[in-house]
Amino acid sequence: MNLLYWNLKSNNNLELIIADCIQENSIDIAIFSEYENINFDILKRKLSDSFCLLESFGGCKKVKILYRNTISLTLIREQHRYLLAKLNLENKKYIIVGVHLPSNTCGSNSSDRKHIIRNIINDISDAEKDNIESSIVIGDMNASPFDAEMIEKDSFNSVLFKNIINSQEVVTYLECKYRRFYNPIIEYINETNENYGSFYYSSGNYCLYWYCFDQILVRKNLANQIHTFKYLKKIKQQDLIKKKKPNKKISDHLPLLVNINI
Amino acid sequence: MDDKLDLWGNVNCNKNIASTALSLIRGQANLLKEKTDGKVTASLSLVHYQYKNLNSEVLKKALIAASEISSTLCAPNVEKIEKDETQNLENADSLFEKNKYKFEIYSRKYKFRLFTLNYQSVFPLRIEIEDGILGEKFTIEYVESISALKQILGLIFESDKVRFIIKRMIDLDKDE
Repeated sequence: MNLLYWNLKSNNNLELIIADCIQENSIDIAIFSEYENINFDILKRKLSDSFCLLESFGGCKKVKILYRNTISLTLIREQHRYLLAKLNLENKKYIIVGVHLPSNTCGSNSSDRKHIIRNIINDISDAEKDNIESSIVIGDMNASPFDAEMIEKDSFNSVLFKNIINSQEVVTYLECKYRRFYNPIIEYINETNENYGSFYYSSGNYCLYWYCFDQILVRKNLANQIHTFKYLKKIKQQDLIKKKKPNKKISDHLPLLVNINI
Repeated sequence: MDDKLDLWGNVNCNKNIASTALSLIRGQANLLKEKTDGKVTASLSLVHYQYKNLNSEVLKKALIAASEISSTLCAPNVEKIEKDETQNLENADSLFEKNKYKFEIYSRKYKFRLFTLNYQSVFPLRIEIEDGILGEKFTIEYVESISALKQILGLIFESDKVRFIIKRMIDLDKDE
């Protein structure tokens, strides 16, 4: 299954490039943020009406999901910055969580993100009681993979190393047990493919330049099922990079493509 | 004289007890079902952030047993501490109830949380209202009384976002 996540920076006239991206990469589920200026009717027509929009109840204003209409996907919960959908595949059920956490530039901080993440974890745990095979969280975390909100046990509790999650999926901290997620990012960030990150920012004294804000987290049983993790730099002939950073006329985020064997 | 001074006041009276807060909120939850002909329900339930709680009472007893064994085995020239009057009494801190609750609305297929309540036996109570209801970012309100709680609940329930979602849940239920 091919998943796409793209923060579109509220730009307009992107329907064609999004459709090209979906078709070129055989995307099954596409998740978007900052999509306010996208005409999804036009986008669906460009995809020959082979995709549908996951219908919102108005609870989530930050994430939208477009999915192939041969797939069974149901919205089960929304909150302002995330939504949970149930994916039915060959008698197995998965939870897909699309997320757009608040950024530091809009006045939020790590504590604010942790507040939302704890609610996400609580909602995922509730949803997983329904005989769920596994859960996938994908989106713009506005945090680096090693930031506190991503790795703290009472936050996302994600680990960057397979042998850590494979040896122990549930950990105990202050008398409470927390289930881990696996973050595959370090396997894929490299010089060889110049897969540096999804977001570029060069101001300030402390600066990483490339940031991996757009990430995917999976439960232990999917840790070995991720076969592709790529920040796309080109869609057909259209370069998404300009002067060594994302072309802001398209988006300030590169799209994240993940192939996961489910 | 200072030794006659009574600073305790009336020990048998506490105007600040929040015991009716939960029943007030649960009552509102039950009302929603009636008002929507059963299409939208609300509930107030405990929040469990952790995957599973260890039994902390078991841990406490184990620690007490370990401590008793240790004191029996201690060297004879260690100073003996006399028993105090509270030694065998149970810590009453557990009487002061503290729990976290979530208030959610739901239909057959969909859920949405309106707020989380940090409940304790006395006011103030802390309410974390979900993003987009009373402001773009989540809002934290401290309610000092039942009347303040009623006021904040009214604001939440009558907010544009909550009304819109409930209407959508009713309309989509009709379509199914």
